[in-house]
Amino acid sequence: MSRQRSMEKIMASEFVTIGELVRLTGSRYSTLKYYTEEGMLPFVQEEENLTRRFPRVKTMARIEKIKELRKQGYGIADIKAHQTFQ
Amino acid sequence: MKDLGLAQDVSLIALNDQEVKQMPNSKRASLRGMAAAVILEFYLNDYFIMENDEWVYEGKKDDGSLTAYQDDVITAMLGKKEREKKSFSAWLEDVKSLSKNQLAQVEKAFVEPLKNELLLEEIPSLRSCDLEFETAGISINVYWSHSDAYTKILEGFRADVLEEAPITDEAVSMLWLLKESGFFPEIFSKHEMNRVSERLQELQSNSPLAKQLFSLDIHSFKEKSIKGFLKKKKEVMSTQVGTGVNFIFPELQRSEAVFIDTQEYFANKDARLNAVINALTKHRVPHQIIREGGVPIIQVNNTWYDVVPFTKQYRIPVHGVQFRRHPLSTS
Repeated sequence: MSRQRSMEKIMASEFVTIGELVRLTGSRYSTLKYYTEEGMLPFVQEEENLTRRFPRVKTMARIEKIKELRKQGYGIADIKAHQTFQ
Repeated sequence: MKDLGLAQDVSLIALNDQEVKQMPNSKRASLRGMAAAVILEFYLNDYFIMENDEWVYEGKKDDGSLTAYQDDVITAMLGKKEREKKSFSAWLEDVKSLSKNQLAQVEKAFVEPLKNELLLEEIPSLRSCDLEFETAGISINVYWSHSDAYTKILEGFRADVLEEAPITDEAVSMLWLLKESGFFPEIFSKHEMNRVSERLQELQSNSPLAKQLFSLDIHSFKEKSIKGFLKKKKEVMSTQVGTGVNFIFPELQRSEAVFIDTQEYFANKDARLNAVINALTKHRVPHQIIREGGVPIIQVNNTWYDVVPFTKQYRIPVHGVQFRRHPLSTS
């Protein structure tokens, strides 16, 4: 039986899943999936299953930065070229 | 965001945009799903005792393990009985026979705590702005699940289902509950439904909980037949700009066919949008413009609508706009 982790446990974890990132940031799943496919959110993938795990602190900071740059009018290509994402 | 129970997560999705004072079939289906969610919480949190392959509930303990809504829902289901013993499937399938009064008790059990947590409130419905409702002086209030919590729950669930990753028992439960309550067309795009079908098959083979749940049915024949017919019709009637079933059965989901009069013939796009915003503001309907243009997108009650120029044929044609649910695949 696999149970959902509490927010307290998620906030104490070094790595989180994309579903947990959605719950932490309030971003849409399709948006985070797109950012991941565009290489903007690095992850590690365990071999025994295909779960993508994201470093929590770094990824949350990146998502906030993307939101900030999007508000300033930057497109995805410009954001990818931004020094934060190099 | 504070941790909510599975049943509260389901409630915030299931109650959103449901009428406050009426009990249409869609709301009955949601309330049955919410009652079943409480039974699943009992199962997942080991509140039942296993006895000869049956699950026993032995009444409320004084250890504070039951939340107020869990206690209220089980009381609504069992009445004065303090002990009940049934199979797992019977516990869940018994929600089918809940009366209107019992369903109202289930509703109350969830609504008050969620309101106290500022996660749910009552707002005027988009339907209040519809020309025919306005002319008849009809005002309808609906529940509104606060957008931040709603998005986190719904999008987190979508990620759990659509990702290639192990799935939790809470997500398996929610998958079954939202399927049974008829929410799939509102949650997953047609393209995503292929992945959902694969996921359901995988879980049926690999998850002991899914094996037990997926063969169960928790809705009355009447509710199920209406929902099933609607789903079939929706598949048939899908178009590039939305789905057409609601134009055939507007009484079932009026919010998807709301027509707002623009007051003047052949209004331009700015005049049309102004007329819509004025109508929403006049009726105190919370809204957010997502995109302007010839066919603007406006979010009302956690749903995106395309606002399409439309002419209604009365004795004289009336020009205005019609709200159509924005296709999920492009949102």
